[in-house]
Amino acid sequence: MNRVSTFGMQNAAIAAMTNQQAKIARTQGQLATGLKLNTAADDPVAAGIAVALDRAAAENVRQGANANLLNNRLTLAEVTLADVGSRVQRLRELTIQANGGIFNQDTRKSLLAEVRGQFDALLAIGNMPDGQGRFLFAGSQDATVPFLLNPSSLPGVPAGAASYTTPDILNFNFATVPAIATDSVASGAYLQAASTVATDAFQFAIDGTVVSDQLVGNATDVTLDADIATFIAASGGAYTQSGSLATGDLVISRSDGQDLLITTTFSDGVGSAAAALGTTSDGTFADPAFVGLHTGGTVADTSANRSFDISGPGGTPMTVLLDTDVTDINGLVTAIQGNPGYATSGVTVAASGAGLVFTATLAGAGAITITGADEFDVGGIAVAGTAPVAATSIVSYVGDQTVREIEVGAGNTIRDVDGGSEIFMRVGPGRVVARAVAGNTGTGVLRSNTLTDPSQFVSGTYRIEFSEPTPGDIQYQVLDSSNAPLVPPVAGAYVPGQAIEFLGTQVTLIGTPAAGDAFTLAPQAGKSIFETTQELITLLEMPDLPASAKADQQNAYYAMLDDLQALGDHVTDVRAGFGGRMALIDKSAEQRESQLLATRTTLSSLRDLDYAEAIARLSQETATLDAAQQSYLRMQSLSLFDRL
Amino acid sequence: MPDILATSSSALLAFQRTLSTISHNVANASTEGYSRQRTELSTRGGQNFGFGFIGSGVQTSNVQRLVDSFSFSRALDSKAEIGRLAQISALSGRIDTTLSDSATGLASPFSNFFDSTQAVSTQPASAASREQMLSDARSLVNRFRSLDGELKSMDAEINQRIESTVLQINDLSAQVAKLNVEIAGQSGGNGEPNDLLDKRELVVTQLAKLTGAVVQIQDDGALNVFTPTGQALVIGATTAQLTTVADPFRPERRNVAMLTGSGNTLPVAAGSISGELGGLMEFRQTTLDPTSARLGRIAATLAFQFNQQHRAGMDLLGDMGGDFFTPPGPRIASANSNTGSATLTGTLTDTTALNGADIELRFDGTSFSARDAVTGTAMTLTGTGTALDPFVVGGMSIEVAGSASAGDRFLIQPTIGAGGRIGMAITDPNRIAAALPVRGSADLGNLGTGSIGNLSVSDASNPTLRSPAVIDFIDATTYTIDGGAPITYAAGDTITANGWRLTLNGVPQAGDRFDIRTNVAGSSDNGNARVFALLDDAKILDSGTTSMNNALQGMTTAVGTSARSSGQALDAQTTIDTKIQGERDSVSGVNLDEEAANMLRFQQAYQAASQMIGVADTVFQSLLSAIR
Repeated sequence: MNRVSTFGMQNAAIAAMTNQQAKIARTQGQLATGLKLNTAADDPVAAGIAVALDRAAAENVRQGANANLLNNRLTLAEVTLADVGSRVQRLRELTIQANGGIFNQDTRKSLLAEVRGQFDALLAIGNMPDGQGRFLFAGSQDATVPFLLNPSSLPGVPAGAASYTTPDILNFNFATVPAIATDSVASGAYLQAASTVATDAFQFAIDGTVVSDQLVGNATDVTLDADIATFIAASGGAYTQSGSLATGDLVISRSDGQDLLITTTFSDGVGSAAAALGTTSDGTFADPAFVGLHTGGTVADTSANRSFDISGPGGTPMTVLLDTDVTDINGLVTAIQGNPGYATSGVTVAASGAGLVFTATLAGAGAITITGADEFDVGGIAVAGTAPVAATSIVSYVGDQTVREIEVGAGNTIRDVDGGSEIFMRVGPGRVVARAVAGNTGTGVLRSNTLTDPSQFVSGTYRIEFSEPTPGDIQYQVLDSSNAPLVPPVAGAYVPGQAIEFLGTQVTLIGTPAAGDAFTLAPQAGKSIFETTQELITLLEMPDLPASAKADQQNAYYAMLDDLQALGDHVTDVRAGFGGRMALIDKSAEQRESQLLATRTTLSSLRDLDYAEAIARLSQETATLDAAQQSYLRMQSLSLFDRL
Repeated sequence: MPDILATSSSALLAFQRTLSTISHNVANASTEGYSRQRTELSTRGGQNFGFGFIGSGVQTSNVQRLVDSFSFSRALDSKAEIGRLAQISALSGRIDTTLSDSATGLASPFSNFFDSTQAVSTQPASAASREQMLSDARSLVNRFRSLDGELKSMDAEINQRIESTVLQINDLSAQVAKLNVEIAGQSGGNGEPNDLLDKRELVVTQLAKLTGAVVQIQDDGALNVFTPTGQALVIGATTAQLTTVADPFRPERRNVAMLTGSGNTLPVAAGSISGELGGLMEFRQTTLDPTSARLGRIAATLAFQFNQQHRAGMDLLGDMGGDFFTPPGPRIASANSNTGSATLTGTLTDTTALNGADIELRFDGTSFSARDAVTGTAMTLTGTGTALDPFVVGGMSIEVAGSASAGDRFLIQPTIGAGGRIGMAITDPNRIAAALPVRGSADLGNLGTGSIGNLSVSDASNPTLRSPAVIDFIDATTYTIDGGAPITYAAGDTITANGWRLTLNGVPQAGDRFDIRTNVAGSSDNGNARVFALLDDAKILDSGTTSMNNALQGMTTAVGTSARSSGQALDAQTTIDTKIQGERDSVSGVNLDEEAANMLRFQQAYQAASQMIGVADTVFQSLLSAIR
């Protein structure tokens, strides 16, 4: 172009300057924000990737927060279990001490207080809060206290206060009561006994001392009142009584305020029969249902108005009044179903073996609740209401086994703290244990039992029975679950200290079993830490037995130490499990950090400004603008008209 | 010597005219559209004196306008392109800025929402984390709505711009027609109306910037103007009137149409116009609608998938979860020309087939057919349109009520505008369904070590999902569910019934029992939250190849690309335009130095001619004094 227009030249110069100024503004904006991408248009692909990487980084940070929260909970659980472990160890020491020769019935009581304290402490640990207003060991039901003392099986709980709660089904357990029932009762115990069956025998002991031992078949033979009075008089004020069986209620109290240990033994001439907690005031029950022992100070009800309340989710609560004596489960079912409020209560009831099953029929939040259930008994069959999972447990677990899975990395989840039942209740399920059968008369004591080869073991209850065909010749034989000898037979002469081996197990005994003595070997369901501790309390409360029965005590201590060992192992395993999860969290942290670093580095390279380059660019652009301005000014002064 | 005087005075006159042309040039040096002019001089014929011819001076033959007609039509094309690109670039830049800024974009509230769902998954019972999740969900919904609102207001703004641009176009067309008449009237004979021609070129250039223009010069000097696709805007003294009409499916949207002589309107397609008007229409079709569709697709997918998962869980009050978001249903419009009574209703049923395209359904008298409303590509339509067997197309299920007439058309917009229709369905943080509706437990009396491993819900709609169920192990390798037929079990097997599924950890033994029961109020289980917290990365779009995070990334890139490419094209076109302008200026532009030189030249010539008159006078005076 050899010709330019003045107007065009000026326009071009101005456009060049404004262009340059726009560039400087852009560079200045980048320098001010430190970002080279101000909008997606600056580099659309990089901006898209940056969006994805931003999300990835945010996810990573969030997973880190998750991991921290989880780590806090696991650490708390792990520390707590360390405490549980040392408590279990302490229980073991106490057991060994109690089993030592220097302790007798009285001195063992000094240990008892500590064991009771440990029981309370363990229950408190089970119900430990997680620091966020929830309970740490309750599964996903962590808003409510997970471990409840089972009131009907615990001394000192007032009648009518028991409340049984389970989400939607409750087994109301009418299970046959044990042959020998021992129980400690609170200060102030009411008791009365009666039977119309001539062969029924009754033995009554207070704190291990047999007070009365007699046939009770004829009510007039009962001398319990007099026997107790004699005992109380001889106790030198350690025990007091008020009332008498003749006038109605008899209450025995210990003056030192400690719990009483009442042992009752009943037999009906056929075999061991029932003794149970509960009341009986009319004595009209047929054998073998003939006795009740109420644990609670006073009895509010008479036989005419025994009642309990049932409420279910969504229904109308009903009170079941038992106006007439109910002697079996079907009678109880009929009585409940005959209640006027039954149809609208939202709960149905059915007999199931020795238990009742309550089922909620209406939808709605909440559970079936039975209150006041221990205010009555049915024909000497104890009524013990518990949630199905804890039918025989002193402590029931009302949490659940749901375990949260927490995301600590992409596709990497770690389990939160397990439900309380898996930590405190289900200790060593399926553990094969040897136990002495009650009533052994010899001095055979268990020394050890091990499962050497689990693959050979066939689940079942095995009995090692002893016989003495000729005096001095003690023979043993192993019987299977149906009391038939094992095939091939496992039998032979008994040598103390020599292991009896069968089906991959080894059982070692010392002492001399008597003919008819037996030991069982069977897998045991998971046993709770509370049950074991309660058994230890019972064991420590056990009176000194005559030398002939020492072996029973020895075997009981063996079983206790065995259970405590398993408990200790279980606690260690659970701790190790938590430790393993924490190690995984640490590992995930390393992974997360390196990923985050990589993500941020990439993000930075995509988005962040290279200051050196930008500053260099800025000075280049300002220099160019300067030149453009100078040349424009120069050009302005170049008009030929100026020279005229 | 009268000849000298006459000759000199002709020179004076000619140079005066030349100088006035130069002064006209100087005066208009900065006038837009001005073409420099040049006074053409020629000699006056000579007189034969027998010995030869003696010249008789100079005369002004013409005032020439210096133009290059090729550069004019190139300038028209360039201006049209600049008009089009400037609109697209400015509007795309606005969307880009809105979406890129973390204070107005979608990415950060979207990420925050999923972070807080993850927090709920970690602490499902925490009131604080639940409240945070709801609050983040509200922020996300508000962001969807404000972004959609931003796009809608751009749409409204484009309508206004189209209307005002159409008015300007009609006005400019009228000016061209008027100038045509004037120019035709003044042309012919000697010389052309140079300044009127400049003015007409300027007006046509302005018109080209708005619509794009192709011109044709007529013999009478009139200039006919057409759109790039050949529709006449100005023919001689007559103009075609543009107007705006409502979109047949979207009454709020204005389209461009041409008024025909009979008063009817003829729609003008987006592609047939360039310039600013074309740019507005093109932006609306290629950037605004797709962006709204991309935004709406994320909103619709989020609502659908999150709700679906949320309904499979249980809330803190013990009830099954409901909808979390209010799902933004599709917008279905009947064409305003429809004669049948059919109305269509639709819901989203499959996000993997949801591609954001608008779907047009047509009824040909016997059956419906579907096609992409923008590209016209046929789409697969299955079903019969009844409630039991709805039409299924593009992830939507469509029901037809009433009867359609042949030729009826319906527009289904599954995603466009959906961002503005998403809402919150729950307001109570306790209603966040973080827990699984069922839970399992191993019986405490079990001899085996089995415990419930992964429990999950595979079919939330199973009516017996929450019924209590018992898994009894008859022996270590056989179990029954609720006393049913024995089922063989091997370690790691999935046990499934009633819509749930689980695996066992540990080893079960004969007689072991596992209970599955309904979950209850207050559960801090995270079984469901764990799943919905990961939905942002789930491949639930584009036949299962794309996640919502990917879609968000795609939206950012698409919007950025549109802004960047239109910006770059505008820069390129500006460069081209500068060059074309320079070329025009090199012919038609005024150079003041050149004019100054010319001025001096003609000033000197004028002075010389004046001197000649003096010489003539001196000669004449000499002659007179000789006589005296």
